[in-house]
Amino acid sequence: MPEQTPDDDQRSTSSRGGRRTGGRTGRRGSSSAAGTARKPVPTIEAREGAAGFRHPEKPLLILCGAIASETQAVLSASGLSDAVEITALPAIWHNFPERIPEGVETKALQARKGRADRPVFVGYADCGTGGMLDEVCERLDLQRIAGPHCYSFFAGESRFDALADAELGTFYLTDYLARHFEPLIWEGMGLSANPEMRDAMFGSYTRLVYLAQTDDAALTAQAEDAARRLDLRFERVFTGYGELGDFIDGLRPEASAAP
Amino acid sequence: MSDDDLDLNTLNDDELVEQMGDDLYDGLKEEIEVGTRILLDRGWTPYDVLTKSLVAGMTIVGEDFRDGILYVPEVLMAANAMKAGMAILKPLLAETGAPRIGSMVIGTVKGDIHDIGKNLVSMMMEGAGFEVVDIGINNPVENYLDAIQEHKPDILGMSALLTTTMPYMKVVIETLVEKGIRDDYIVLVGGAPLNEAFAESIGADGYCRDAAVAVETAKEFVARRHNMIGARANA
Repeated sequence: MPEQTPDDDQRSTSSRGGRRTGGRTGRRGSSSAAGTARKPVPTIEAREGAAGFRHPEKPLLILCGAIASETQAVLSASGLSDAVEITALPAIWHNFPERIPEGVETKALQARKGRADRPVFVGYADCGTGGMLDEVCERLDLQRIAGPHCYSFFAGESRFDALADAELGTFYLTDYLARHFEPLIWEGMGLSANPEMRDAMFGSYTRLVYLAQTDDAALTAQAEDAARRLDLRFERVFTGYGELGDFIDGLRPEASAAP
Repeated sequence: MSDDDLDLNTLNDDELVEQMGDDLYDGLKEEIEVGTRILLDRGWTPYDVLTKSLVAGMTIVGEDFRDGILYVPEVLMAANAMKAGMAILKPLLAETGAPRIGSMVIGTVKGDIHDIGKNLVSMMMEGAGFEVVDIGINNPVENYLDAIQEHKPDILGMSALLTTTMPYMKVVIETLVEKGIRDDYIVLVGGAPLNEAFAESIGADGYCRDAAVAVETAKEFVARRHNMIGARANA
């Protein structure tokens, strides 16, 4: 943005041309020197090759890419790694929850093309879909993780509620979000291009709580750095995998076969 | 002045309005202030500057945000630029008796501190000629009741960003019903996790997916209401 000067001639000018390519050119979808066009978000189809359905005999778990590592860790600890087929939706949808219901539905329908009675589980909570994911789950008979979001099922509902009640202006990170703070939050929310907007976006927050699934000093340092960049007080709460374990237990063949 | 700079005074009205749309899009606050003053100096009414330049430009910003082209910070920068233009126009609008379409009390519900969307709606509503009373964030039902009693608005607007806080809108609406005042107000709701079905299920009059839609919805409901009042008066 040009500096303001007391000079009348300067004040009646506008930087049309070179610096101002971000205007309606961005709207037309062309590349923009000012960086106003978003990076394309990976589509389901784009990922299909890597996450096809090779084991129709197994239950399918459609999960959020932001909890993929944690889910695999719990599956492994539960001895269920080979019992379930996994497919992930883009973690960046954390920032675009309106895309989740359709993404889950598309995957579930694809998975049941060859086997209509295939059990399909959903590794999401409501996650900001405002009940729309529940509508898909109900219609297609899918079972999702209970609760409003991953913060809640990692921390456990009562502990999460206590954290939120203690300080309303709390911004949460998980292991995944701490590790990918830069692309998902800083860049993903557009702060890298306009850091001066940080206070306008985070001004109502007072602290950052890192809900840690693992004991990892490097990740804790990254989360603390994220708090510093957002100008928030830092706290770390160890949660482990929380209620994700209960959900994974429900994937056991005997559990999913139960009426 | 560098080679890239353009003297806004050299543009005709149409070019200047288009340029201001681009400047608003890019969040260029100073340029918007200058453009606003130039249009006023050329004899434009404050209301025309507001609606044909600033509001029109901000509507495009809103559409591009909805379409995933702009990020929140960019929308906020555009909003700041619009606010700068409105700061010039506001006293003049009051002096020139610009049309007031209606009034609105708006706030984010209890348990929710998110206010970016609500602030954008407030600004766009003001730009469209509504008188807006913004009661801020984390509002229990008592705050809404106090505000509507004091300001007697046409519209009550509620905002929520969280799945966990959006059900509180129902609490507010049910309280209005209990008190027998639900039909005295148009209730509009909005926020990222909301949708039409939710708005209908809690008994709101309308769901507004973004600030531009909020303005259109509000205008439509207020016009309908005025028509009904007019019809009753003529009956």
